[in-house]
Amino acid sequence: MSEQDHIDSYLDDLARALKIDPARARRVLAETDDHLREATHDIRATGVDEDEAARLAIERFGTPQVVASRFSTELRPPLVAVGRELVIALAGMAAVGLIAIGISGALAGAFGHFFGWTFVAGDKSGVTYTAQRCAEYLKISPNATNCTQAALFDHYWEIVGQRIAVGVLGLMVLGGYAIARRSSKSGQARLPHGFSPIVGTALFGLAALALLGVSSLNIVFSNTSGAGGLLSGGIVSLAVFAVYGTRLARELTSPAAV
Amino acid sequence: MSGETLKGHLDLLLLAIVGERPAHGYAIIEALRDRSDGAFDLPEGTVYPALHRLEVAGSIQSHWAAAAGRKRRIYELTAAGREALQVKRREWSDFASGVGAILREMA
Repeated sequence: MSEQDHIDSYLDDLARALKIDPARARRVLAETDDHLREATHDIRATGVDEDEAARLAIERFGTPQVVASRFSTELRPPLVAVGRELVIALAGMAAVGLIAIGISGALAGAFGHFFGWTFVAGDKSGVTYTAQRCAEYLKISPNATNCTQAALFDHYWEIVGQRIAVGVLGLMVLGGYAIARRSSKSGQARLPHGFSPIVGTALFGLAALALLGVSSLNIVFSNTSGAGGLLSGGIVSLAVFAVYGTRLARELTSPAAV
Repeated sequence: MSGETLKGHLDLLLLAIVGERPAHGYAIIEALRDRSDGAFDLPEGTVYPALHRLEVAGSIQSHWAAAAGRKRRIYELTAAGREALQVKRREWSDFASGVGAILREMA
């Protein structure tokens, strides 16, 4: 076996054993390759033949399992730092979610303007209210002419007004997220590569599927009353899903350099 | 000296060697072995993880350089590493003089 064969075989075993991020693994393999060649060269200079010199150099380096395990241990980030980064990442996604709710409220408002409030907040056919509930709705909306209209006003406010208020809260969370992120910049990513885009794509994809699915079923098989509320949420979820999905594709195709 | 005993002081030794002049992994390991007259003879591959950890912590930095037709990673001390080295030197000095004093008394 030549020096090249010995070293290549060792590097293959080490590559399989390393449980670190791919960019760092590439660097470790390049450094190991350089080290083993230099060690083999030095051992040969003492009169040992090529095959034995490469074997000795590899033996002194340590087994791939020992080296890989040491890398995993040495590079394991502190639990507190991982927790902090996780909280910041989740806060970022929560901010996006809250802002998305706010935008869906504005979109629902636009639907209400163009297609009528019933499309956004109307009750399904057959829904009735007790006299006590009607009295509460009419008290909240004294301009309403009947219980159904008072309930519609109340539901419309819940969908449009409260969602927009949630969106404003999202902007504040986003501000806090930006400050926390800037203050914790250490240059070292402790969460798995692409964590936020993966979670964001999955969550908003599911939300879009559920909201668009239910609103479409309502429109096709029932009636359009109240469908706009769900539809606005589905459309915004789909847009956020597309943004996270694009980011995910970009991050997976361009690994961070070490 | 056993690997476990050495492991506790490895950071100080690596920072001291790299602090003297920028060097690649093989040269650092050779210096570790030669200067200790062979007493610090770790499995060579286990020194690289420590170097990577010190770099992640900001004590050392590294860059690729070409040498003898091969790519070689050169390590050098950062300002933070220089401070860490001073602290670790002081700690070691206090520890060694304390142990020495006790052993002298008992001898």
